[in-house]
Formats: sequence, structure tokens, C-alpha cells
Amino acid sequence: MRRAFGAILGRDLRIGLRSSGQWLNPLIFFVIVVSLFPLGIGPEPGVLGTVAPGVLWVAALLAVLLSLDTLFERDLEDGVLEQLVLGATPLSVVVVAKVLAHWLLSGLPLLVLSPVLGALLGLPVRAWDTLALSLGLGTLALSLLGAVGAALTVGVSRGGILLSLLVLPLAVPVLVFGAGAVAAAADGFETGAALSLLAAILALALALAPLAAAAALRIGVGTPGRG
Amino acid sequence: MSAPTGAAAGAPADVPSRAPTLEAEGLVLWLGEAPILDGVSLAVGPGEVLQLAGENGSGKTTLLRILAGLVEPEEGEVRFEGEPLPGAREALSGALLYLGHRPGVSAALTATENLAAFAAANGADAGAIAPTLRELGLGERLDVPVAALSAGQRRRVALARLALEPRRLWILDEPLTALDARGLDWVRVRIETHAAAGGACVFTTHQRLELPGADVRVHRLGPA
Repeated sequence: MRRAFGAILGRDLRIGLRSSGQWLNPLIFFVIVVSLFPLGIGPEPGVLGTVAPGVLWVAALLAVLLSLDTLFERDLEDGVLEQLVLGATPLSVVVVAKVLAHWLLSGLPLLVLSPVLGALLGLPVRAWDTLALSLGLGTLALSLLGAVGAALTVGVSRGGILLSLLVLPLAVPVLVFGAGAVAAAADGFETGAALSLLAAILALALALAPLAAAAALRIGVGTPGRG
Repeated sequence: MSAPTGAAAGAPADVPSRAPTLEAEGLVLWLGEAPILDGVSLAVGPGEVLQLAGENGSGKTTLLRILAGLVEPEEGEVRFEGEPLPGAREALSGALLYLGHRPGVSAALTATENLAAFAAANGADAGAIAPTLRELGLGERLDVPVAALSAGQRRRVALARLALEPRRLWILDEPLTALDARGLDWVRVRIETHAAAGGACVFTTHQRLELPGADVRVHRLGPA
């Protein structure tokens, strides 16, 4: 099973790296959305620094959402998804491998770039590591939650907006604790509690989301007219 | 390639139970107001080849998807070696090779990469990939993304799995689409070898496929 997991992970990474849009588009989106705020609000460091945690987190959330619709859709079009559904590897394991590949390509670059954008918004340096850590935990959880939405909308024409409507409410706790941790770090407070809650959400999502997404994929592929 | 083929290696003649490999009984499926399948029953056993015939829209693809366990019928039952389907899914997944009308290869990957991913996931021998692709006339295009191949070449990449992954049940939806005479011949030999080794095969085609080396039954679908 480890071999199958590695094969699916490697396959998706290779496809993603070959189509630069998959990892580049969410990153550019993230940068542009964040850099719009100094233009819209004005360059006062005090104001920008106060809204920075929320702005960075909302932008990251939307960037992850934007990248989710390719998670299963391309495989459905190629006919690979039905092969994965029929394959000997449990479908929930397939989902975890695909989500991990997706996160490495679209989530990881966000947190690598986040200190630069933090600096742009005047976020205090002491909050940068918390920003990267919270984005790491949070975007992985969001990718898992988003996989459920992507699986539910697989094969639905123009499913992108439906996907956002399904996933955004589920993303609220991640946003609250993620932005909360960064804001606390910026003000010099303890961040352990918020980060622990974020990690707990990630653990819960890791346990439940693959099962839900696998069930949804089976239904999606098995629906005449959608598969 | 005179080495034993994948099909021969993976299709044991001594299947434990006497039940047919795949058996369907009274399958009914409606799409909206119209019945696609109305009480279809069929069976295919070791060494048998079953061809589904019927006009476009007679439900061949849907029937194959039900037989493969992708779609659940509204009524009726599919049994794999005597076990009814949702429960027998795990056993079926280790025995089935399903090729749908979409080839099932990623456009961004090369032929070799596509087949290596399947080989790793299904425990097949990755060393045989290049020789098989050469046999299929794709030797020059091993490292070109599948997106750059023609429809017939793409079909050949998917069909290479017939030789690479030893499975005792094949479900092939229009495997001959876009193939030339040489490709057609390759598939013919594959199906005959598979049946001779005790494998079962259900397929559809609109082209003529003579299989003198196998015992082919035809099941006709559609308006009676």
C-alpha cells in the first residue's frame, strides 16, 4: 500500500509541476490579493499591521479554494478517476495521497512566501514564524476539507462556485484560530492554545475527510451523466 | 516477446468456486423517465468471451459500468464468483481490468509514466512496460506526453495494460475505437490468449472483430 501511495503522490506531483498553472496561479492570486490591501486601505503601518493577520489568512483561504477544482476534475476527464475507484488501493488512501500532492504544490508555496507578504503589510517580525506555522497547519486542513467539497462536486458542470459554498462555512474555524494565532503573536501574546486547536482541527480533518471524500467520489463516478 | 504473457500468468484455470466469474441477474436502471436497462441477465465464466451488441444508446456502456461495480443498478444483482457485488468489491478489484471509453491515461504524463503508475498501484511488473509499448508500435514515443499522441496511440497506451497487469476478468468498453489494423490484430491475439488461459472477457465494439481462437457469445441489448 505504501508503494501505491507513493505512486499516486509522485504521479500527481509530476502532473502538477508540468502544468505550471496549478502551483503558480494560487501563489500569484495570494500575492495580488494581499498587495491590494495597502492600495485600498492606505499605507499607514498601524492600520495595516492590525488587519494583516486577517488579510493574510483570508487571502490564503481563497487561494487554496481557487486551486481545489482541479483536484479530481482532471482525473475524471482523463478517465483516471474511475481507474482509481476500481483499483485495489483503498479510495481514502488515494484521497490522502492526492491531497498531500495538492498541498505540496499549492499550500506549501503560500507559507514559504508568507513572511514577504507579512513584511509588506507591516506585520511585526515576531509574528512571522507563527504566520508560517499557522498557515502550514491551516492550509493542510483546508485542503482536506476542500477535498470533500471537490469530491461532492466532481463532474458537476461549473462546480467551482458550488465548491466554494460548500467549503467556506467549514473553513470558518480554521480561519478564526489561524488569524487569531497570528494576531496574538503580533501583540506579543501566547499562541499555544490557538495553534493547538488548529492542529486538532487538522487531526480531525485527516481522520474524517478522506473517508467522506472517498464516499462522495464513488457516488460522483457512479452517477450516470456525471461519471 | 515470447515470455509468458501477463494474461497467461494471472488467469489461473482452477478458480476455487464453480460459479461464473461474473454474473448479472435482472439488472434494471432508469435515467429519468426512460429505462436504460430493463431486466438484463448474463453470465461469463473462465475462458469465455462475451460480446455486448446493440445500437448506440442501448445501454452497453452503462451495463459495463454496472458490471465493473462503478454504477449501482436500481434492481438486480451482480455477482463476482458467486458473491454479490457491493460486498465482493474488494475481491473484484484484485481480479478486474476495466478499460472505459475514456482511456484512463493522464494527458500530462508520458506513456511510460502512466503505465508505471498503474503498475505500482496494482503490483504489476514495471520492467515489461517499454517492451510492450514497443510491441504496440509506440517505441518512438515513449517519452512524449500522452497529450501529444493521436487518439489511436492514446488507446494503445491504455491497451498495453492488457499485457502488463495480470487479471482474470476483463471488461473492455469499445477497445477498438481509433485503432488501425495492426492494433486491432494485437487486441485480437490478446483476447484469444486471455481466454485460452482461462480468463473471462466482456467487451463491446461496433467494429468487426473475428476471434477464431476463442469461444465468443453475443448478447444483444436494446429494444426487442
